[in-house]
Order: sequence, then structure tokens, then C-alpha cells
Amino acid sequence: MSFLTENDYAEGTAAKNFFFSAIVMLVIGTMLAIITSFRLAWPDIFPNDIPWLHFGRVRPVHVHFVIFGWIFMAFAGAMCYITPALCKTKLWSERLGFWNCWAWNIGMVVVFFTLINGLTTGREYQDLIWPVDIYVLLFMLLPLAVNVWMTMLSRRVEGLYVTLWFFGAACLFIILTYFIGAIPDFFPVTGLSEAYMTWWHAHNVLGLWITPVSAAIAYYIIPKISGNTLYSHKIGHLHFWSIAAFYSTPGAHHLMGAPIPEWLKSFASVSGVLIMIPALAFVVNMLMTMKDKWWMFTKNISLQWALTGVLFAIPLNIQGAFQQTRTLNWYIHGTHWIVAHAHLALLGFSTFIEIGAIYYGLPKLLKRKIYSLKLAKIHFWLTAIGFLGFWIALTGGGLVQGAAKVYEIPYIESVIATHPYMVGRAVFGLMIIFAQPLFLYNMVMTAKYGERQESKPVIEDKIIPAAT
Amino acid sequence: MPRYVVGAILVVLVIFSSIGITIIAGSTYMGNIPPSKWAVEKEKMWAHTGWNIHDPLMQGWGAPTLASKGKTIFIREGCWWCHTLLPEQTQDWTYFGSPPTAEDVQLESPSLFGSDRKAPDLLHIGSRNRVKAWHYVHHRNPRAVTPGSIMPAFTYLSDEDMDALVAFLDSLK
Ligand code: HEM
Ligand code: HEM
Repeated sequence: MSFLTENDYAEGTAAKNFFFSAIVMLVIGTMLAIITSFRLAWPDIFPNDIPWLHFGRVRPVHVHFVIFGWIFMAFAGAMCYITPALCKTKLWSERLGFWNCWAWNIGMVVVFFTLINGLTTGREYQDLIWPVDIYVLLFMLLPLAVNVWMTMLSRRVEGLYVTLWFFGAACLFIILTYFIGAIPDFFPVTGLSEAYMTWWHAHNVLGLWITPVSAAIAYYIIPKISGNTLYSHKIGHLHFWSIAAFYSTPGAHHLMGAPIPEWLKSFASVSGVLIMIPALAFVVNMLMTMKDKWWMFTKNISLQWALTGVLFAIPLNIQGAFQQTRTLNWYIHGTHWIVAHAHLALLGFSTFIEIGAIYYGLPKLLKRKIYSLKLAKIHFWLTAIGFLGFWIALTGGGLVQGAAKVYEIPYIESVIATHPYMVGRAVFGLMIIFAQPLFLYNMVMTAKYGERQESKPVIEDKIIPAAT
Repeated sequence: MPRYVVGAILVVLVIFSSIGITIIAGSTYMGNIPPSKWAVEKEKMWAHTGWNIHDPLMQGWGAPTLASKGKTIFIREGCWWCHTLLPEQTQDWTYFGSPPTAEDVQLESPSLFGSDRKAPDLLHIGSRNRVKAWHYVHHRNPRAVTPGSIMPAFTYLSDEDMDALVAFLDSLK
């Protein structure tokens, strides 16, 4: 193992590489959405002879670039930065982290070429074919987990801060989840069991990885920037254990319309409502941590992003909890409402927190100040307003589709009726898409020309007590 | 024992019991539901159509029937991102036909229920619209037969691919 831990890479290399790669993926991933969103509004707007420009081909590529590329790599960067800081030590292996990052980028190239050519399993969120699944497990997820765990084991403090529990556990969860989701690719699992495993996987990628890791990042940066200690570690405990217990079970709520056993649907529905517990625990903990420091909300760009993300978690989880009860699900299942919910989760809640983390962490790693705060503000407002318009358009469109379902009017009528909403989404979406290259530009310029600042070594940390 | 070890053991216990309840209970229970006659027939006709090593480019090589090749193309082109194959249990009946029973969807892989429906359900399209000529025109230029449709015009598909796709639709009884 010494070849991994010998230190010939500067501290922070892995995190920097991950952060920059993540931003590039965010730019590409949102750009791809030009194709998907425009196609749904104006179906003949791009040449029809080119398969790579068709909705069905590009949609999964968009989803994979924003989830696997952007969100996952931003997480990896945050883990490589925050874990050592909280453990008051160095990252176990900068070299492993560096190679992990590049293996990840190569993986994204493979993902692009397989999915854009239609090579897929046909199972949503487990779309990748099994050779790629093996690659994802061995060269993308496992090295990251090893790095995080080994850093935690070589820590120089006694206790583990909440963020670290989440990081450590989520690394285990994602590997298990991904593996279980891939089982039908390797073994003859078919029919209902296969559908169930597919959605169990999709659900837990969200619940045991994206949600807890986003929260863990907020647990670090919000106290750190505001200068307040975490409001309550007890609530942190509640959050952690209730996520593990309640979020890992309701996979079946994605299949409320399918012929799975009724008891499984009820079970999923009940445990789905219980996700409100970790969700509210998190939100309360974060908002209370801001006590007396709310003036910073508009003054500090990272806090502005991260807290907006936290605030988005409120409608997100209320929506989630109610939309999966039988009373509501039949109305909105399969409509644009769900797509709005998905973007509220991954673009509103999760992405906003990660962008906050990058605006905080990357300049620190580069030992420079943000090149242009003004540009960062423009980035924020374009993304925030674009997203709100996007969300309102899709939610409205979803309700129209729901009504059309009830009255069983000819399907085409609902397609025509939702056209204005699709146009709305495409236009507001453009604001988001346009904003992300500004982010990339700002960060590249920060690396090159940002005003130098003597940052204290990453491991110095007073605000966050290492209490358990 | 240090507290973090206790914590780690607890995490593993909690998570494995969750997986236990959901996956093992759910899947073994569902695995035991016997396939219906129609499911067995479908399985013979379509076989397993997701990506596999014998058909790495998803061209339908070695597909037992034309409909099976068609299902491969249905997956490859991402038709299922808009068309569900799952009439809902609560409504949809008059328009899209009856929802499948648990027995009906056994053996199938992948089952393509779909989650974002932006187009009509196709589970019973083979009973609803049997005019093949309509399908051919519709796939090349959907707006010629259904004004206002947002379906992509699949002008790049070869004639063989189109035959297979229509055969698959026709087999969806
Ligand atoms: C109380 C919390 C939540 C509950 C109970 C919940 C429930 C649901 C349900 C039932 C669906 C599927 C609806 C349908 O297809 O009929 C869904 C979809 C989705 N949820 Fe949530 N949700 C919650 C929070 C979240 C969070 C925190 C995230 C991610 C950070 C998230 C991400 C998504 C995504 C991406 C989808 C789309 C899946 C698809 O493609 O169909 N949700 N949610
Ligand atoms: C970081 C930003 C983004 C994330 C994390 C994200 C994530 C996702 C996810 C998870 C889905 C699948 C939804 C589902 O299955 O329910 C999706 C679909 C989609 N996204 Fe995004 N997205 C982002 C940005 C955008 C932008 C800027 C647009 C531009 C308009 C966009 C347009 C679309 C479209 C058109 C679909 C297909 C929806 C459908 O099938 O009806 N996304 N995205």
C-alpha cells in the first residue's frame, strides 16, 4: 500500500481535480438538456436523421452526466476535502484520489458512448450495461470509499463529527445499493422482482447517497462559514439513524401503479412518510445553526447557495411524502409533476448545496479568493430564477396531465395542452444552462488570476468540535 | 470497544435488516408468483432483450423472433422514456386497456413499465391499432398522422429495424 500513501502529490490535488471535473460535467450535463427540453417543446427543431440528437438517446445521457458526473464527482471532491479537515489529518492517498478522479472521467466517456448509442439495460437509473457496472463499482465507487474510510481510520481526533458518519456510511450504502441494483444484469432475475430491484436501486441512490451526502456537506459548511457550532448533535443522531432506517425501505413507492403485492405498497407508503423525520431533523438543525447569523445569508455566496438548497429541502420532502400516498400518487404518477420533483431534489436541493461547497472549498484549496463575486451572484440568480420557473412550469404541466388522466380524454389532447408548459420549461431551463459556464469560467479564472490569500492549512479547524 | 466501532456495527446491522425486509421479503415473495400462460408465451416470443454479450450493439442479433428484435430496438431508441407499458390500476382502463396482473409480467426482462409518461400507454397497442401501414407512416413522420404529437420522427431507422419495431408493437396484445 505504500505506493498509494507515499506523498508525491500536493495536499488537495484529489479534491481540486474532482471539483473541476464536476463543474465540467455540470456544464456538459445541462447543455445536453437543451436537446431533451427543446425536443419536447418543438419536436422537429433538430435534424431528425441524426440519432444522437434524438430525445430517447440523449435523455439518459443527460441524467447520467448530471448525476454520475456532476453530483457524484462534486461529492467525491467534497469528501476528499472535508474528510481530512475533520479528521485533522491528510487525505489517506492523494494519489489514489487523483487516479480515482481520472478513472471517473474516463468512465463518463464510456457512459456517454454506450448510452448515446442506445446500449442500455432498459432499466431506469440502472441503465448502464454490466461491463460498465463493473467499472463503476471497481474504479469509481470503491477507491473513493477506501480513501474516505482509510482517512477516517488514520484520524488524529477522538470523535467523529456528523458529517463523517454520513460520509463513511454513505460510501458503504452506495456500493451495496449499486451492486444490488446491478444483480439483474448478472443473474436471471426477471419479472416483478427485477422491476422491484431496479426501483429499489433508484430509490436508494437518492436516499442513501445523494440525500445524506448533500446533507453531510451542509453540516460542514454551514457551521463553518457562519461561525456557529452545530445547533444540536442529538438531532444529528436522529437524522442519521432515521435516514438509515426509513429511507432504505420505501423503494416500492415508485411502483404504486404496478402489480406488486399490496402489502409491499403499504409498507413503502408508510415508511415513505416517515422520511419526513430525517428530512425535518436536517432542515431544523441547519436553520437553527444560522441563529443570529442570518445577515450572512445574502453576504456570503457559499452560504447563499447552501442555505437555498436547505430551504428547497422543505417543499421537496413535503411533496415527496404526500405524492407517494395512494390518495395522491394515482393522480400525478408518470406526469411532469414527478420530473419537477426530481429536479427540485437534484437541481434544487442537492446541486445548490454542492455549488455552495465548491464556492467555499475550491478557493481555499487554490489559496486564492473567488475571481468575481459578481459573476457568482449572477450565477446564483440565473440558476435560482431559472429553476423556479422550470419547476412551476413542470408542476403545472403535470397537473394538466393528471386531469387528462382522470377524464380519459384522447391522449393527444393532453400533449397539446401541455405544450406551453414544455416551452416554459425549455426557456427557463436555458437560464440554468447559460449560468453554468459562468461558474466554470469563474473558477478557472480563480485558479489563474484570483487574488492570493494566505489560507490556513486545511486541517486547522476551530469551529467544528469533534464531538460525536 | 470504541464508540465508532459500535456505531459502524449498528450501521451495518440497520442497513442489512432494511435490505433484508425489502429485497429478500419483497423479491422472494414476488419471485414465487407463478407466470401466467400469456407470460410464458411472451417470454418465448421476446426472450430477454436488454443489452447482452451476444448482441453488443443492440441490433437484435440472434433474436428468436422479429418481435424480439423489435423489443431490442424499442429499448435502444428509448421509446420507453415516453411510452409506458403499464396501464395504471386506478384509471386508464377504457382507453389503454386493463392493467397487467402480477402473473402477466413474470419472466419478462426488462419489463419497461416506464416512469414518465408523455405518450400513450402501449401495453395493448397490438389490440388497439393493427394497421401496420399506419405505424410505418407514424414512425417516419408522426405529425403526418397525429397533428400536435411530440413524438420524434425516426427517419434514420432502417427498413429492417422498422419491420421489427412494428412486429413488436403488433405482439403487444
Ligand atoms: C419525504 C421524502 C421523499 C419521498 C417520500 C419521495 C417520494 C417519491 C416518490 C413516490 C417518487 C415516484 C413518484 C412516481 O413515480 O409516482 C419520487 C420520485 C423521485 N424522487 Fe422523491 N421523495 C422524497 C424525497 C426525495 C429526495 C430527498 C430526493 C433526492 C435528493 C428525491 C428524488 C427523487 C427523484 C430523482 C425522483 C424521480 C424518479 C423517477 O425517475 O421516476 N426525492 N419520490
Ligand atoms: C444539475 C442540474 C440537473 C439535474 C441534477 C437534472 C436531473 C434530471 C433527472 C434526475 C432527470 C430524470 C427525471 C425523472 O426520471 O423523473 C432529468 C430529466 C430531464 N431533465 Fe434534467 N437535470 C438538471 C438540469 C436540467 C436542465 C437545466 C434542463 C433544461 C431544460 C433539464 C431538462 C430535463 C429534461 C427535458 C428531462 C427529461 C424529462 C422527461 O423525460 O420528461 N434538466 N433531469
